[in-house]
Amino acid sequence: MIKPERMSRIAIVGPRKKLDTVIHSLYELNLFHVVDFVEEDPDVKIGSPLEKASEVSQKLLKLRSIIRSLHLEDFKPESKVKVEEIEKSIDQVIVTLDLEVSDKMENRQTLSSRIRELETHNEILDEIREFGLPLDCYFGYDSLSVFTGTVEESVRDEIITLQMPVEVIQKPYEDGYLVAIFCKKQNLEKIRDILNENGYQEILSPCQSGDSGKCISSNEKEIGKLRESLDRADKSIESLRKKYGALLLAAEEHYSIEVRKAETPLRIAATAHSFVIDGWVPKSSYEALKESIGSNAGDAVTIEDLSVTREQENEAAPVKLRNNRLARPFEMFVELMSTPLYNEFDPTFLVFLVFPLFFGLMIGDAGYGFCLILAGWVFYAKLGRDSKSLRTLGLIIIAGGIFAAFFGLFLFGEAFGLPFHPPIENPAEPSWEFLFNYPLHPIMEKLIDVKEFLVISIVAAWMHMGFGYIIGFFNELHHDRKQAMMKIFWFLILNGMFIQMLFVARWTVVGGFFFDIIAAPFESMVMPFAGMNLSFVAIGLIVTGIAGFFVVHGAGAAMELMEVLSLLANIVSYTRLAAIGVAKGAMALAFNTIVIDNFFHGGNVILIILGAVVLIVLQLLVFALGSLSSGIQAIRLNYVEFFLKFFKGGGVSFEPLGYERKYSEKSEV
Amino acid sequence: MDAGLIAIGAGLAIGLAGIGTGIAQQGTGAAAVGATAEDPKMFGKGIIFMALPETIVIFGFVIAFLLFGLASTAPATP
Repeated sequence: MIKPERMSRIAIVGPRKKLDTVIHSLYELNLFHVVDFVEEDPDVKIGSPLEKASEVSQKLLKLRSIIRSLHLEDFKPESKVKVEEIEKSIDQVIVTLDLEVSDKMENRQTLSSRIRELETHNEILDEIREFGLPLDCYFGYDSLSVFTGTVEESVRDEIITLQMPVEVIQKPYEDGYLVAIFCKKQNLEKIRDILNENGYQEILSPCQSGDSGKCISSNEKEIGKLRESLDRADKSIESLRKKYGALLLAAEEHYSIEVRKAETPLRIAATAHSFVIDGWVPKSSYEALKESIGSNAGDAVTIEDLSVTREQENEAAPVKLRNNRLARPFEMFVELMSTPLYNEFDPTFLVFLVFPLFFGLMIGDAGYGFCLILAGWVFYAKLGRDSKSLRTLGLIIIAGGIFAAFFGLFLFGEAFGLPFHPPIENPAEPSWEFLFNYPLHPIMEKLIDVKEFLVISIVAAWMHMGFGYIIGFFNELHHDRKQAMMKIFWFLILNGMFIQMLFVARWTVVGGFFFDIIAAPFESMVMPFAGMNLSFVAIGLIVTGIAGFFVVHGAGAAMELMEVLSLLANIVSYTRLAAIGVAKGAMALAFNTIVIDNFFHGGNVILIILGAVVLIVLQLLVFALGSLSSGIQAIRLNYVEFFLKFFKGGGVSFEPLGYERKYSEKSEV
Repeated sequence: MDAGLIAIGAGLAIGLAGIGTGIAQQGTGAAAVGATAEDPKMFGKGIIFMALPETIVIFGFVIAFLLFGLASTAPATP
């Protein structure tokens, strides 16, 4: 839980003919992280892909092209397909489908492009029909030129001023005009110039004789027939999708895995007759791996623990976080920042404790809390069926929702921004009392006891960052003593600042509570000296910390000195817990008050229904904004204020050879 | 002091701090999105840089709040 899993570096050595078996068993075990081999010695080369590689890749290529033509990317198969079944039937299926699918797709393509062509024809004919001339009037002259098309501006007047024999028909059409111009061939250029200046676009009739209306209707008949054939083609493609979809997807998955297996030798060392696989395995699984490969590949293959030193292990081992089932979703947050180093403290468990707490404190509302639990469940069970990260997100939302509901019920006593009971300071405020009488009274009024909320934030800052420094100390202890000492001095400064803040805020309930526990003993110690109060203890701690910097770093500590101010900023930064909680609460209260005062008081049924709709929309807005900003701020406090006190990151994730099957399944041997 | 003036001061404190944060985040935010688009592993670091200027507006909030506390004890404008 606290540190990543210990790893052993092992080498698997054996004769080349056993390589296939060994790779196969490693993939089944899902425990072995390969260290890529780098060629140095001329006798030891990178291995070559297994024999089946090229054959399997060919199959995969064909499968993928069929899958793309059939648009199977969004196909959801009902059941998994057994690997034996895939291997038995896939060759035949590929041969059949390869021809059939390309034929059908080509046919479909021809049909739809013909339909498009006829539809464009009809559009053109429809436009020309406006002039009311038979189609053969436009063609077949020896001495005349005909322009038919559209222009942006009227051209009639301009052409008539040319004073030459010409016939202009012009009709308004869309934004411009539709024109048909008949002129002598020798005047062609002049007319064309005028037309081009006015944005002329030519329309050419596809039919050269007869009536345009008849032409259109015969086209339409043909389109109808073509559409029927297109439907038939679509249906037969759909039936292919239904019949082969599951098999094709499963086969694609199966052969992708096979290709990965077949190409694994490219990552390992091989000589003419033997191979060496170098990599890491979790210490706890070493025996299992040895036994499994031993039973599959026989005595010819040897597995050796290379017994690397702890330093080498720290430097190169891949990182596999190990957390209990509850905390595991929060590994996502740590991985998002960076994978921890191998010898580093894994903060997942603390994020698991702190994130939902901060999130819940900022939301602090029973109504939104239960909605969040519901939303988290939807993410987990419905949307996240195919996506691991959505499922993880769902679990995180549920955890946050539980805390939000808890604080809403027992600390702030409100749901959907409406208090269960009106505050004593303002008995006229709307509350849930009109519907039911909630037995508990709030311990804290979110919008009134803001000072208490601020002090709670400061206490959270002290605890959270204090933990950060303590972890930092242990991280550095075996690594860099100077840095470890620095963490202690920082811890002293943090405490100094905290005690001073408590001293200022000791008249609040929360402040007084912590003051009595943490600061009061010091106070009784310094009080006997005339005129001293607790501030002297606080300043003493801060000065001791700063002096410590100079002891550790010498004159170089001046740079660290600047950071003291940023620690203060870090502490104040936690007041965002109060800020967001109050801002969100105030927003919900404002919306509720506006709607209740304006819609619900008159007793008008239509107004009440309208008010309910407005209220739901506004509540959704508060819910969405509040959840989003609370989530971001809660994780930010972890990343910026907490992680930076100890976390280095930059480790290599443990990625064992293995696979996940979604569409295909392997029967147990 | 006049309660109204104090309230204006509180509003200015949080409003101006918000503008400051906005200006700072405009640059870091754009750069962080760019970096994340190029390499999703930059997300964590991006959030950190993105979030640093936010502290300014929190300062603004705290000052505004403290001022508001003053206002409640000050005499209201007649």
